[in-house]
Amino acid sequence: MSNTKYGALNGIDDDLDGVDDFTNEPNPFEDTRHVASSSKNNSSSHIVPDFDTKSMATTLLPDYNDVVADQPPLQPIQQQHLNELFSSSNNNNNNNNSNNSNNVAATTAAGEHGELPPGLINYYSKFFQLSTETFKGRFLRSLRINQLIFESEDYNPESRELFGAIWITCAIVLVKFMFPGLINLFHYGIIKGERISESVPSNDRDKIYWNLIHSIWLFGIYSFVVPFIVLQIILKDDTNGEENGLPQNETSIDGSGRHMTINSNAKNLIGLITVYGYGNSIWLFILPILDIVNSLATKFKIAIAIEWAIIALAYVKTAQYMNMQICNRGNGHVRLPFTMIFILGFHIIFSVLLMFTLY
Amino acid sequence: MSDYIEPDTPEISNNHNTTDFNNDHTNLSNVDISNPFESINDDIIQDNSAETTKSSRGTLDESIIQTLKRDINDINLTLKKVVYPHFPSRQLLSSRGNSTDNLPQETTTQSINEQQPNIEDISANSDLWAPLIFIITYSLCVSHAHTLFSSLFVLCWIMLLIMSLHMRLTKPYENVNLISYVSLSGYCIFPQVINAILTQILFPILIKISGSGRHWTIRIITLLKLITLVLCLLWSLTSISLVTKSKGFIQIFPLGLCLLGLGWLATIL
Repeated sequence: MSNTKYGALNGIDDDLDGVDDFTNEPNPFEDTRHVASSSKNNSSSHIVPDFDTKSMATTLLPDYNDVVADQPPLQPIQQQHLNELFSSSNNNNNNNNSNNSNNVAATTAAGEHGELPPGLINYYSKFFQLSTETFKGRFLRSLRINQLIFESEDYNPESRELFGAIWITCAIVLVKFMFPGLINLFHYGIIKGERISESVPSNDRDKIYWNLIHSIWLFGIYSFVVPFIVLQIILKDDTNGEENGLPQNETSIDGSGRHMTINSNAKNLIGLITVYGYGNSIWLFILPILDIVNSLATKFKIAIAIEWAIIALAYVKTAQYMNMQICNRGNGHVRLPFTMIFILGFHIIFSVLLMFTLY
Repeated sequence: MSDYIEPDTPEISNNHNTTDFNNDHTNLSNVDISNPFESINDDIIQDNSAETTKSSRGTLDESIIQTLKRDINDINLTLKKVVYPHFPSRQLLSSRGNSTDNLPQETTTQSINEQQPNIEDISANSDLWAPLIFIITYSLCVSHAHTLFSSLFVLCWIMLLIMSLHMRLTKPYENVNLISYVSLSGYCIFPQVINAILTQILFPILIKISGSGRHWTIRIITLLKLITLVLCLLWSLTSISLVTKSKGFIQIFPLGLCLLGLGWLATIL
């Protein structure tokens, strides 16, 4: 933008406070990292796999004054060089540029500021940063028998996430809502050629929406409230087991040196919610089957028995999954922890209530 | 000077000035004398005139029809950028297929990104009028203006909020705020509005028109409903994923889930 009127004002001090008094200072609204990344995005704006989004999202950027105070004024060439360095460090996350004092200052300042407080949205973004392969692997392992969903039994804060728990639960609720309607659509709309509003009794249609509401609160409580209750029991049970001198595993010792019978990933709320969330994935396949069987129940009374048999099988699978994820596998001692009784009890209540949403 | 009405924004006044000065200098009602740096700002305004169309609303010196027309044009302009080009046509699918098969990955990504509108440009001009209009239309169509309207209205906004939160959480490094995501998501439910209009208004009229052979008509229309649902879902999903640059299963799956829920409600109710 070439403006001769602006050009005429350059270098003239009008003795008044204004923009012309600060022309030699760096612009505080320019974020060098953002400029670098956006220029990079213009050339090829796909997300680089090694991009450290989790740390970017959860650490506070250094205050402008802190960074400026630690560095001498930059020449334009230096500024350009700095942009390139930031760009390459974002992409490769390597240490090639570790000698750069500006970069070090920025990193140090960020470390001093610590993590974001939980009141900000970005604080929770670390629980939603996972790759498709990780999600796929965990989802498939949750369906198999005798497999841990986490990559290892050791405590790893990076492995905790809420994405699976939230979106698997949402998918189940949607499937639960969609499938009866889809069956009606195929049965009456396509096979019989009748209008659904005329063929299906209004009570049955209302039932679908009531079931949606019941599914939402049921899965919501089971996936996010029950883990909180179970966590309190786990923490209490773990302490009691240690005090009572029960045989403990010698190999699995947590950071504080205590022996554990409960899997370390199940000893925090997020980890437990992850376990419960992936545990629901079996219902993605069971609920459509139950809906199909239920649509036959009006003609064949044996279908009701089949429904209960299916839900019992699903219960056994999920109970085995819970035992696998929560009890420590490294422990050679076979003991049903006090916690598991509560977990299985909650699971029975949940399964029976879920069954009633069919009717 | 006493009958001078000051516009809400300096941009609009300057826009008026440039056009009116070109047309007729005698029309003084639109001259803004409140801005002494008007002549200095002219160059900037001319350069940014295209970008300030959205912010140039709220004038008092034009008729309501003119304001409405301008707002509708603005919405249409954004739809042209966000939604219309992403209809799942053969051309779009083939261009994607060719680009991924024949070209190197970097070149492919670059060319796709050049074709896409910049998210920051769109989000800078984001508004909530269009989502509001779309949601009201959707709720009216699906509820047939009965008691379900309020539930659907609230549900739609909740869906938009959930989609926006999801995008905000999975892409914290993007310089886009939550309201902009709500606006973009709102624009991307436009195909769902079309789906609702077709399935709830147009198809029932077709059933009523066809007197004889009613069973076959219902079968065909039921199939059409499903096809419309899938097409509109793909359209919405393509739009929102391209505009917000959401990539991969993790980012796209939740968006698809929310849009499927909205589409299914329109199909089944």
